[in-house]
Amino acid sequence: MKRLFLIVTTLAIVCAQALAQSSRESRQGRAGQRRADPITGRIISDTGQPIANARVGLNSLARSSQGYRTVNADEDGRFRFDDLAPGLYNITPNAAGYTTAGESTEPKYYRPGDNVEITLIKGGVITGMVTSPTGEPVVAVQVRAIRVRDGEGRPVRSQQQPTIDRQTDDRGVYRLYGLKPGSYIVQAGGRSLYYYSTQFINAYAEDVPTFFPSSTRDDAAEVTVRSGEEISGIDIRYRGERGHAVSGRITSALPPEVSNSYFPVLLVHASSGFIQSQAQADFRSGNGSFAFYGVPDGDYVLVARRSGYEDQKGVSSPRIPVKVKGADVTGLEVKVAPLGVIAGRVVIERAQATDKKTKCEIKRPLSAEETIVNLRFDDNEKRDDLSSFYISGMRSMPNEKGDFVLYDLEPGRYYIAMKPIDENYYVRAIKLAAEGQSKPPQDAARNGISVKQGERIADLTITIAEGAASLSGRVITSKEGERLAESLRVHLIPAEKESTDDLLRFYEATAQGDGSFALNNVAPGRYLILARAISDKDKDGARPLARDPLARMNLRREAEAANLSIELQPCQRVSDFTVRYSKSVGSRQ
Amino acid sequence: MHVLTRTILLVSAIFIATLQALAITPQQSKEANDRPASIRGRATIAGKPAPNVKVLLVPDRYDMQRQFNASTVTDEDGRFQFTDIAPGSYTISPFAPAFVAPNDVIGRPGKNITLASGEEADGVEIALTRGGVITGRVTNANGQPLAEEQIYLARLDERGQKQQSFIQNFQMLMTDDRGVYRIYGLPAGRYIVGVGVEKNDRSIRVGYGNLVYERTYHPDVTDESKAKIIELAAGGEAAGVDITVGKPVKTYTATGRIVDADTGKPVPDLYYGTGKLSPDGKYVASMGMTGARSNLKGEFRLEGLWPGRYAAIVSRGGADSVDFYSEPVVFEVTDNDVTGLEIKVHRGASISGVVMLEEGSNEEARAKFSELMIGASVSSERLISSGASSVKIQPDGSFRIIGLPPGKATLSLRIGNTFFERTGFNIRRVERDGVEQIAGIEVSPGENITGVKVIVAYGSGRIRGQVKLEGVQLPEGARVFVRASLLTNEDKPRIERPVEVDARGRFVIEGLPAGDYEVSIINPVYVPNAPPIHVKSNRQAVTVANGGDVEVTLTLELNPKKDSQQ
Repeated sequence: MKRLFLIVTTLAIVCAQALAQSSRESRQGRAGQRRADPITGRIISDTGQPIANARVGLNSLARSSQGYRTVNADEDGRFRFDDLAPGLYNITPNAAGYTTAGESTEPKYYRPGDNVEITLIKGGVITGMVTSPTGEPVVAVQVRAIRVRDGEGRPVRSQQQPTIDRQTDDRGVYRLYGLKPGSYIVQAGGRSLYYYSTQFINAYAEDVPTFFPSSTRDDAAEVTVRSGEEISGIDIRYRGERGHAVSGRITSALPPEVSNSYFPVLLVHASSGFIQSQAQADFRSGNGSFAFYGVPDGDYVLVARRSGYEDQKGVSSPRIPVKVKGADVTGLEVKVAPLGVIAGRVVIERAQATDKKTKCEIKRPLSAEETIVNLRFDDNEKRDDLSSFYISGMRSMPNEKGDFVLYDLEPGRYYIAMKPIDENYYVRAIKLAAEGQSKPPQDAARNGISVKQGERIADLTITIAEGAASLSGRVITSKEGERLAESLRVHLIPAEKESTDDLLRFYEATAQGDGSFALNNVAPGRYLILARAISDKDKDGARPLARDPLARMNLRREAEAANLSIELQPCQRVSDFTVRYSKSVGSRQ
Repeated sequence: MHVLTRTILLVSAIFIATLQALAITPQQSKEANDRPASIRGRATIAGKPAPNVKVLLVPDRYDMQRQFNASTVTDEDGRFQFTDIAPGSYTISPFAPAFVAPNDVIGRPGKNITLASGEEADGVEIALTRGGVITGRVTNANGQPLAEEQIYLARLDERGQKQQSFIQNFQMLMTDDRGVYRIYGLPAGRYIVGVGVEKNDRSIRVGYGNLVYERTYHPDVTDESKAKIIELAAGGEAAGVDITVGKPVKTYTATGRIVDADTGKPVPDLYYGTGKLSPDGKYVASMGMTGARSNLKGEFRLEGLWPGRYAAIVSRGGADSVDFYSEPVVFEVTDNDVTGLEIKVHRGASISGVVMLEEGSNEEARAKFSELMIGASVSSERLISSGASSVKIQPDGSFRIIGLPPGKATLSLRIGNTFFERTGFNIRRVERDGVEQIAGIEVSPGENITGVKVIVAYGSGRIRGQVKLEGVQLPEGARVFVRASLLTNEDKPRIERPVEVDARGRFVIEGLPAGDYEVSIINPVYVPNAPPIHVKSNRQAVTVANGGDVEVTLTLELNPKKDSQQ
C-alpha cells in the first residue's frame, strides 16, 4: 500500500536496469517457475459472525511485488490469495465500521500455505454537530478524530495512530465510525487526509483546527469510546481562526534525479509529535520552495525528507525548530543531506543430512526471502517521534538470493532484530565486513551498526541456522500465595562465561498475567534462566536489556544467584518449565 | 476510498499531497510593472442580500501549496471586497455548499474575473438559492447496510436526458457505516439515484473497491429506464431514497508477462495497471494502478475485473522520464480469467539538442527561460504507451527527451506542471543538422537523434478586450472563448491558445510575441447541458509589441442562419 505514493519517485533507473539486465530465463523457463501455496483465512467479527463487505488486503515487502492486493471475503467470511510468489506477506483486514483489536503496531507476516484467522471488533462511533459562533451549522468542514489514549487509558503517540476524517453535512452533522477503542480529541477544520479534489475548494482547509468543545489543541477535551459504542453530542463551536504561514526553501544542490521531483516537508507539533501539516517542496518546476498555511501559534519541528525507496538515495534535513507566535514565519532556508544505507545478505545454513543431532523435522525449509530484516535504534534516547515515523526503510525482505537493502537511515547506532517465522531456525551470527580485507569481520550483533551521515555500508551478513530450540512454561513465586509482580520478564543467559558478549544467545520474553511465557527460535546450548521484574525504564521492551553491557553483567550475576539452568538440544521443545520468581533476586538495586 | 483510512493512516497524507502536487501549478511571479487591482461584489439569496457568506479568491494559476489566495465574509448587505490583488484571472468563489451557486468555467461555484493592472472591478453578483437534499440508505439483498459505496446521481433535463456530472464535493456521495448517504446543495429538478458500476463504464476502479455491484437504481432496479424519478423542489428534501442491490458481480483476473520486444526476455520491476480504451480504441482513456510491479519473470496480474474490454498497460508511474515505450495488450473479459497476455516493451528513441532564445530577446525572456521544459509528442498508428515526458532544459540550453516511440515527433514547450499554463514562449523554428523540420521530426525505432536546434521566441505582449452582447442574452454558464491568430506569411496562420471570457465579458490574452494578430470570438458558444449557440462576431486586427498592451472590443450577436436555439 505504501508503494502507492512511493511510485512518484523516479522510475527511470529501475527501467534502465530492467532493460539492461533482462533475466537469463528464456520462454521455456516458465514451466519451472516457483509457485507457492495460497494464503487462506477467515475474517469474522468478535461475535463470531461474518461481516458483510469485508475485505482483506495483502502486502509484501518484496521490491518486485504484485503491489497491494485485495480480495473480498465470501458470505462465510473466507478468503484466499492465489498465485503468490514465495515470501512473507502482511494481511490487512478492512471492513467499514470495524477495527482491529489490540495495540500491536508491529505488522504480522504470513507465508504462503498459512491459514489466517482474523477477528475484528465493532469500532466506536463519535457524532456531533459543528456550529459557527452564531449557532449556524458549519457545512462541509472536515472533522477528524485523533487517538490520544488506548483502550486502557495509556497515552499513545498520535502520529502512529489511526486517524479518521469526514465532512459535516448541510446540517453541520458529522459521523466518525470504525474508531478503535480509546480516547480521542476531535478537531474541525484543516485539510482532509484522504480526499483531494481540485474542483472542490474547501474554505476551511486552511483554518486553524478547532478542537472539541471549542478550543485549541492544548485544551481539547478527550472523548472516550468503547467497541461498538456510539458517543453523540460531540458538538464543536467552530472558531475559524486563520493562523499563520510558515514558508521557506530547500537550498541544497541536489543530484539531478532527486531534483526533478517533489519533496515532502512535514511540520510537526513539538510537544505531541503530531503532524500538524505537510507540504511539497517543488523541485520539478520551482526552486524548492514550500509553504504551510493555517498554522496556529506554537512550537514546531520542520523536516524535509525524500525517501530513497526507489533508488536508496534518500535525503533529509535536520530537525528545524520553528516557533510561530503572532506572525508568519518566512524565508526558512533548509539544507538536506544524504541518508545512510546498509546492504547485506541473509544466509540460511542448512543442517547436514548426516548430522542427525541438528536435523529438525522440517516440512518446509525456510528460504532467505521468507525472512524480514528489522533494523532498530540502539540509541533510543537520541530519537524522537519522527524517528519512529520514518521507518519504512528500516525493514527489508531479502530477494531470492538473500540480498537486502536498508535505506533512509539517519546517523546513529542501530541493531538488527530478527526472529525467523519458522520455530526451527535461529539467528546464529550477524557480521559486518571490516574495512580493509585483512581484518576479521566485526560482531554486529554485539556492537550494533553505526551509520554516519549518508554512509553506505555494504557486506552485512546475517546467518540463520537450523536446529532452534524453544522453551515455554510458567513463572511462579517462591512463597506460596505470594502475588506475582505486575510485569515480569524471563531471560535466557548463555551459561558459559566466554559467551557473555554473544548477544544472539540472550533471549527475553514478557510473562503473561498468569505467569506463562514462551521463548522461541533459541540457539541450542546451555542457559541460565532468570525471571525478573521489569523496571519502568525498560517497560517499552523494544530494546533488549542485554544490549547494555552493564545490564548484561547484572543479568548474569542475578541469574547465577538464582541458580537455574537448562541444556537445550537442537530442535528440542521444552514446555511446562517452571521458573521461580523471588523478589529479592529480581528487584533492581 | 475509506480503505486508505485504515491501512495507511498518516502516510497517506503524503500521497494525497503528491496527487495534489501533480495536479496543480505554482503561482506565476508577479509582473514588475503591475499595479494592484481590487474587486467588489454582492451575494444574494433568492434576490435578497446574503450576509455571512464566505467568498474565496481563487487564482486561475494554482499555487501548489494552497487552493485560494484570500477569503472574506459578506457584510449585512451581502457585500464583499478583495483589495491589493495581483492582476490576472480569478474565480470569485462563494463557499456555501448547501446552496446552488453560479459555476465558473471548470464547474466550480463562482464567477471568472480577469483583472487588469490597477483595475477596480465592481458589481460581481453571486446569486445563491437554497439547495435541495436527497437522502437514503443502501442495503444488500440480506438487508445489511452497504458502507462506503459511492452513489451515482444524475439530473434529468426536460426531455428526460441525463445531464453531465455536476457534483464537485464527492465526499458526500459516500455511504456511511449505516449505509446512509445525504447529498445536499442540489438544484431543483428531476433526479435518478443509483449505486454500483454501469456495465459500459469507461472508468477503472482498481485495488481498493468494495465488491462490485451491477448499477442498481432506486428502489431496486438495474434497468435505468425503470429508475424511479425523484422530483426535487428548490430547497426541498427527498428522504427515504433507499436502494437495495442484488448479488455482487463476479470478477476475474488477467495474467501475463511483460517482455522486451527485441529479445523476448521478461522485464521485471515495471509498474503495470489496467486501462480502458477510448471509444475508437486508439488510446488508453483511463487507467488504474495499484503500485504493483512485474516480478523477476516479468509477470503481471490484474485483479477485480468485471466483464468488459481492457488494456494491460505498463506505466512510467510518477517518474519524469523513462527510456521505453510499450504496447498495451487489449483483452476482453467475459466469463473466465484471462491468461497468457504479453505486453511488449521497446527501447525508446531519443531526441537531444539545444534550445536557443531568438536573437534580441530581452532580460525577462532570459529570466523565464530557466523555468522552461520541453517535451515531444509522437503520432503513431499503433496503440502505444510512451514513457517520454517533458524534461527541464539545462542552463546551457541542452536537452534530451527519451522513451519515444517511432513516428512523427512534435516538440512543445511548457512551464510548470499543467498544460494550461501559458509559457510566453513559442517555438519559431526546429532544425535537425541545419535542416528545418516543418512537419515534425521523423523518429525511427530506437533512434538516437542528436543535433536538434530549437529556436524559441518569448512574447510579452498582451491583448485585452471586452465582448459586447448585441441584442443577445446568454444563458447562465454559457462559455464564450476568444482567440488571437498570428498573421504570418505562411499559408496557415498560427492559432494561439483560446482564452475564456470572464463574467463581465473581459478577457486577456498574454505571452504573445510581437506581430499582427486577428482577434475573434470562437463560434459556437457552449452552454452546459444545452445545445450550443451559434454566434457571429467582428474580427479585430491588432498589432502587438513586446511588453505592450492592446485593447480591443468585440461584438457578439446571434447567427440566425445557424441558430438552433429558437
